[in-house]
Amino acid sequence: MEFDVCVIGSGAGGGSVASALAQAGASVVVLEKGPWLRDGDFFKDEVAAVRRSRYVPDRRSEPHVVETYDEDEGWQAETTEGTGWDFWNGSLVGGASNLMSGFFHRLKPEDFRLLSEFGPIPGANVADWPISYDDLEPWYTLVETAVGVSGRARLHPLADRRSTPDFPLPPLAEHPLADWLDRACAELGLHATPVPRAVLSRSSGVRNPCSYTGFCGDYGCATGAKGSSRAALLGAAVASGSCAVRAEATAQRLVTNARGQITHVEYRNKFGALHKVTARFYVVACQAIETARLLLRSTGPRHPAGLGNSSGQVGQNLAFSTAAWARGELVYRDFSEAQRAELRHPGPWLHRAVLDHYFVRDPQTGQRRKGGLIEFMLGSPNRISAAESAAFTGDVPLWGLPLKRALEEQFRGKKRVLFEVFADWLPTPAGHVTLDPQVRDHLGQPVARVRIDKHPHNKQVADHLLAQGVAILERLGAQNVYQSSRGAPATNLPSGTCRMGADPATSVVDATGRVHDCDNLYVADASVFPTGGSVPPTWTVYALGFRLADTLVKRLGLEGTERKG
Amino acid sequence: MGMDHDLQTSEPASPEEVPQKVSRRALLRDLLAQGAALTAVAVAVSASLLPRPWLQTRVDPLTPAQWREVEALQALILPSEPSAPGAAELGATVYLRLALADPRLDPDDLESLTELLKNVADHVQRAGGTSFAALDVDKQTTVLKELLTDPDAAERFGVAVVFTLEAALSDPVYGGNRHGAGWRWLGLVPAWPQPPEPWFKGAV
Repeated sequence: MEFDVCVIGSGAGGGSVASALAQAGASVVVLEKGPWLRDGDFFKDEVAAVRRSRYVPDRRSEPHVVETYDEDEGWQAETTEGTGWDFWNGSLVGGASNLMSGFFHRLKPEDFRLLSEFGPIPGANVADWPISYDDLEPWYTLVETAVGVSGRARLHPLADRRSTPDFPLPPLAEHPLADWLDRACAELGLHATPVPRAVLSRSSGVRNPCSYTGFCGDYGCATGAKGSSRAALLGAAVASGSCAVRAEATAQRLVTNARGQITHVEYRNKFGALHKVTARFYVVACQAIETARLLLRSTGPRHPAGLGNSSGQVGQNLAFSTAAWARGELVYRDFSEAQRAELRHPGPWLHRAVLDHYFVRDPQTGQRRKGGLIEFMLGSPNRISAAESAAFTGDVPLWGLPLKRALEEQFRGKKRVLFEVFADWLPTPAGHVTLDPQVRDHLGQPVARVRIDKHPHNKQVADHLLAQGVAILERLGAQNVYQSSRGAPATNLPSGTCRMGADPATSVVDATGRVHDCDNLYVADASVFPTGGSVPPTWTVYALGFRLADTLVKRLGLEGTERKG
Repeated sequence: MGMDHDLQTSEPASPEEVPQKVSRRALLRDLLAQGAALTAVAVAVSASLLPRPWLQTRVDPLTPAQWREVEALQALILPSEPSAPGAAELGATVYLRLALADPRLDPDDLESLTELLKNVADHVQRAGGTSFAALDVDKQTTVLKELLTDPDAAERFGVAVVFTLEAALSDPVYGGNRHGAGWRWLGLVPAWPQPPEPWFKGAV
C-alpha cells in the first residue's frame, strides 16, 4: 500500500502534521521508535520517570557522542554512556510532548528577524527566518484549540499580538504565591505575566481536565489533560481511519531513486525485522539531533552526502536554549501565620514569567539587544531530588540525625521557588551534528556526534537574566538562593540542524519546510529553526507542523476536502 | 531527560548536589572473593529481606554478609527514632535489592557500593573489629567519620546516601517507603496514580 504521507516521529512536529493531514482526508502512516503508551500506562513514579529515565533509550545501547572543547586538549569526544549527558527527549508515541511541562510561549516578532533587528554577532551564525510572526500567528492560534491551551491574555508591554481576544480555555488555578510574585515584580517596576499551559483546565472530548498533582515535567499525563500530540491529536487522527501509527518502528534510512526522489523508508520493528513503507511525501520529525542523523545516513545516488545535504548544511547551526536557573527558599518561620498558610498551599503552579528583559539595553553602547525569558515555578515535586538537595550541601553528604532534621526542614519548613532562564543559544560554525565514524547503536547504525560549541554571548545574556531573576527572588523574601549558570545547553531543547531559509547554499529546507534538494521530503521539528528564540520551542513546533500540513494538503489536492474526525 | 542540563522538566540538580560517579572496578573478582564468607546466619538475614518472587531467579550481586553491612550503614544514614522512621522501618535494604535489579541502574552505582563496602571493611579491620554490623553504634560512627576523611570513600558513601533517600521517598511498590511511612514523616501525600508494580518488572 502506498500512503499519501509517511511521517517519521510522532512528537509535536510529526503529530501535528499527521493529525491535520488525516483530518483533511490524506492517508498517513506514522513511524515511531518508541511504544504506544496510553493514559492508563502513566504513573507518578519518580523512579521510572526521573531516576531511571524509562521513556528514553538506554544510553548503553543507543548512545550519542559528545564533543566539548578543552582549553588544553582541544575538542574532546566521549560517548554519553556513563556520563551525565543525554540528548534523548522521549521515545514513545507523542514523543517528548508527553513529558513536557507545557509552559507555552510564542516567539516574539523580533525572534524571526534576529539578524536584521540586532545585527551580526562575531563568531555566531545568526540568520533571519524566511517567515514572520504574522505568517505563523494563525497557526499559533490554531494550536490553542487543537492542542488545548489554558490561559488568559493580559495586557503588558510584551504581550503577544493575538488574532483572538483570549485563550479557548480558562487558566489553571494558581498558587497564592503568584500574587506575591505579582507584587514583588510591581515593586521592582516589572511585570509578572501569566503563563499559558498546554494543559486542559476543563474536559475536552475524551480528555479529562488536569488533576493538579503537579507531576508534569518528565512524567506522562494520566488524565490526558496535557497537550501531548498523543493525547490531543494522534488518538483522534487514528480514529478518523486515515492515520495509522506504527509504534516501535525505528526508521533506518530514507531510500532514494536515480532522480533523487524518496521511494520508501526502511524501518526495523521491535523484533529487528526490516520493513519498508512507501508514500508520496515523507516528513521527518525526530527532533533536531536525530532528524539530522537520519538524513545524513540516508545517502543515495543523488545524495552522496545524505539527504538535503548537497550544500553540507544538514547538522549545521545546532542550537539549544541556554540553561541557567536559580532557586530560593521561603522559610516558613520568617513569615506571619497568615503568610505561612498561603505558602503551605498545596497548589503546584505559579504560572508566572517575566518578559521585561526579553530585550535589553547594552550598558556600554545603549543599543537594544536580545535578552530572554525568566520563568518562575515552585520547586519540583520530585521528592527524591528534593531530598538530595537537602543532603548534599558540602563535601560530604549529611547522614544520621542531621540528615533527618535537614529533610524535615526541606519538606516541612519551607517553600522552594525556582526560576529558569531561556536565552538564545547562538549557532556557530563549529557547533554541529555529524555521524560518528566509529560508535554504532544496537541496530548497527552510526550514532550522532554532537559538538557543543559555547559562544560566550550565551552565558553573558543568561548571567544578566539570572541576576534580574535573583533580585525578584530576594524581593520575595527568599533565602539561600542558589544559582547555576555554566553556559551549558539545555539538552532537551535542541534546534537548528536543518535550517529553514530561502538560499539552498545556506539552509536545508524552504519556508514551507520542504527540503531544498528533495522534492518529496519535509522536516517538521525544531531542526528547521534558524535561531532558537528565548522561549521553550514546543508551541512553535506545533504551529509549524500545522502550517506544513496545510502545504501538503494543497500539494495532495485535498483542499476543500471534508474534514474527518 | 531528567539531567542537570534540562529546562522545564524536573528541577535541575547542580553537580554540587549529587554524587559523582567513579570508574568501574573489578567487581566480579570482589564478589567471588566475598562469596566465600557465606554463613547460615547471613542466609537467614537475606531471607528476611522479602525479595519479590520474580526476583528470586536473579543472581544476587551482594553476598549475605555484604547485605548485613549495607543494612548497618543505612541504619546509620537514617537512624530510627520514636517520632520518625529510620532506614529499618522504611525498608531501605529491601528497596536496594530491587534497585540493584533495575536494568537501567548505572553499573557504576553498584561498583561504588561494593567499593564502599571494601573501604568499610578496611576501616573496621583497623579498628580491630570483624564486621561493621557487629560494632556498636558509637564505634560505627567513629569508623564512618574516619572513612569520610577520604574524598573517594566519601563519594562512594554519597551513592549509599542516595540509595537510602530513594528508599525513603520512592513509591512503596519499590520495597522502600514502607506503607508510605517516608511520605507521612515528611508531610507528603501520594501522587495519583501510583504505579502498581516496579516499572521494570516485565524486563527482569
